[in-house]
Amino acid sequence: MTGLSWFVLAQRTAGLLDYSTRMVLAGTVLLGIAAGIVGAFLLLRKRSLVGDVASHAAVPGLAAAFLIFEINSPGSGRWLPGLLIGAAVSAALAIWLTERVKRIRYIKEDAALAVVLSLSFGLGVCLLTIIQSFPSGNQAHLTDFLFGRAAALVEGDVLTLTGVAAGVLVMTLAFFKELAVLSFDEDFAAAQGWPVAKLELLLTALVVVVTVTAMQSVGLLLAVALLITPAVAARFWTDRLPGLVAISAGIGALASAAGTIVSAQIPRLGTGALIVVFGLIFFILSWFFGSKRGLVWAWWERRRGNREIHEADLLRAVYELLEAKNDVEGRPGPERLADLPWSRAAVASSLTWPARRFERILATLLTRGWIWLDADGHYRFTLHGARRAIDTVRRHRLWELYLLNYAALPAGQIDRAADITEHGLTDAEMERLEGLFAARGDQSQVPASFHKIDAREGEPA
Amino acid sequence: MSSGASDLPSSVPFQVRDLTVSYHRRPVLRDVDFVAKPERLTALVGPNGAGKSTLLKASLGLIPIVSGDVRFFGQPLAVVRHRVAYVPQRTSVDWDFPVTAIDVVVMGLYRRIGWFRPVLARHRRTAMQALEQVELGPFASRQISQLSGGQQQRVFLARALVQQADLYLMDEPFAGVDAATERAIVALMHGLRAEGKSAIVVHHDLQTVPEYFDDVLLLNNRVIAAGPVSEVFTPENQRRAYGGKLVLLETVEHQLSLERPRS
Ligand SMILES: Nc1ncnc2c1ncn2[C@@H]1O[C@H](COP(=O)(O)OP(=O)(O)OP(=O)(O)O)[C@@H](O)[C@H]1O
Ligand SMILES: [Mg+2]
Repeated sequence: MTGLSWFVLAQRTAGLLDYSTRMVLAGTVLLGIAAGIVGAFLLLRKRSLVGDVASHAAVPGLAAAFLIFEINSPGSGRWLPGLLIGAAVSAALAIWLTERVKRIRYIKEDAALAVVLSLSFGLGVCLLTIIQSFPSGNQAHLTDFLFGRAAALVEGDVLTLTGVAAGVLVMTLAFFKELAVLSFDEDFAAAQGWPVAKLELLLTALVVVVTVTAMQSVGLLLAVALLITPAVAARFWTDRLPGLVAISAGIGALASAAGTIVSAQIPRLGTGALIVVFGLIFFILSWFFGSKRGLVWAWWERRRGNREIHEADLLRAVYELLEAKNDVEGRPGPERLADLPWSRAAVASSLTWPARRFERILATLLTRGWIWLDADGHYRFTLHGARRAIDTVRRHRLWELYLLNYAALPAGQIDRAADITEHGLTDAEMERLEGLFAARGDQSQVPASFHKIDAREGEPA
Repeated sequence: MSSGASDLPSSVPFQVRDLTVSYHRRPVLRDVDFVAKPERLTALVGPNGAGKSTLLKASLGLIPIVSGDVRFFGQPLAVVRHRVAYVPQRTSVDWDFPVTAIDVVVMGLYRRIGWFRPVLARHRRTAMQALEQVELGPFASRQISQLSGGQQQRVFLARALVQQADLYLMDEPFAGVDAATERAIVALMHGLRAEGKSAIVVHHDLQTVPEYFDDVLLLNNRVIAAGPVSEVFTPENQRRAYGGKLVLLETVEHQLSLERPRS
């Protein structure tokens, strides 16, 4: 249903836009998808900066291509396919050069990237200056390719971008497993006989293609943002690779759409820059609200976990206090337990908690209706609260017994033990543990579960 | 190095002849000759930096060889790659990579699944069985950074198991695992041997070599000794492999043994 209404909304929005804006929208969204997909792999392969090198190194190729065509037949320099090929060739060359420089013993990858990036960009700027001195140079608007001019996208460009996006999609789907294993564990991939170098080449080729096609819309210098930002943002939403790639593509598409639509309303703002800004906004939103590693979620989960533990600790502290003071017979039933009054001071002193935490947890239990304050200023368990307390204590003691008796067992079970806490025990596991201890004659130490107590109420101990 | 050695039967899982490997002109392995016997567990021991990992990696073509020849089951690796599984030393993977334990194990099946084919439910079932073999069933859908070091190690072991290879090359599978896990892994290795498979295992605990392994290869830059544990794993050979270090340990041990009766 929501999917449909989104679609309707999208259709209406598109209906509001004029034809050329719709073309631009289609183009940037397709590019966003392609960049999101490739960027996810690039990020995981730890090659984020390769995108940066590709985009900066495309500049001299772009300029050189323009010069070559212009010298051969003046006025023909701004032939788009030629410029694209020039850009792609020099980007690829730069990446190859980086790989070579990296292999020099004392040069690390970051240094190699920095050297090649700045050298090629410097060369590009020189060439652009030379072009300025040409009669047709000023009209060439080559700098448009640096910062992007999405507004200039026409139907033919959209066709190209559709082709690029489709190609990227097909390639990544076809080689999904292979790219995954390459990114995750290169040595293993090689030991298994995957052609690591060729797969690497494929990934590099995809990066170059996306970067170069991005130069028309977001521009060369911002292309890397389009590649990496969606992938980084997506990481906050999932722990699985397919999910990461899909979400990254989605964020790329959304950021591109948002940037394009907003820039259509405010003509002076460049589309490319806005797309990148929206990418950043999505990144920040994901960072805060992402369901896997987002700050808010992590904080909330931790808080909830802590609170559960604290509540259980408080219940147990009260139970143990009552047990000690009233010399409660082996297993008090909930009715008996709910009868007994206790003072907050006594419980507080048995727990070494900061006062604020004690107050907070006590208040929580009050609002939950697990405890209540009687007319004399004493606290008491409600019947429900008493049941919770008995259950908590039972769990805790079973758990301690379990650790005591069974911790020295096979590897798998130890890990299992370390993994589930007493709070995470399911009822079925509790039953099993109880059975286990009963069989060993340990039952005397284990408070029975409350439904069993109910059944045995009348029996002599 | 007789010419007869070149016609070893295909039953010999692993054979190295005159292998020399160097990093940046500094030879790390020199003229290594070694023949592993089928259906045996071989310990690969030697001090830190002896070139144990290098031997395994070079054999698998992960680092270039200066000279020499490596055969698996009498053939070059490319021909019999599917029969060889490798468990790297404390893998240097990105632990934050978005994969779960079972995803990693499934990677061991990728080769068998082949190009362009997707991972199917039955592949995941096979992987699940391997995870259960290393007692990690309940952790299948954990992201790998949320596993303990020993558990991570076992995930990679499961990834090797799932390949159903005939020869396992394991680089320190016991590093950082607890005693119970170590016993579980040893039991697993003995199970593999019972199925007619072989393993070459880099191992650091000299005490347990006789208990766990059939054969031993003592390595330090070159082969110090190789053969059945009972024959070649002598204090003399160990001393030769470990140089001064072990002598030192032995003196300490000796002193301790002198002190003990007194106290
Ligand atoms: N990538 C590398 N570049 C340069 N030298 C290396 C490289 N890897 C290893 N070495 C050197 O090669 C030698 C053998 O290393 P190797 O990793 O094979 O040792 P090892 O026997 O596995 O040791 P350990 O027991 O510590 O794992 C060491 O001296 C090491 O310093
Ligand atoms: Mg090693």
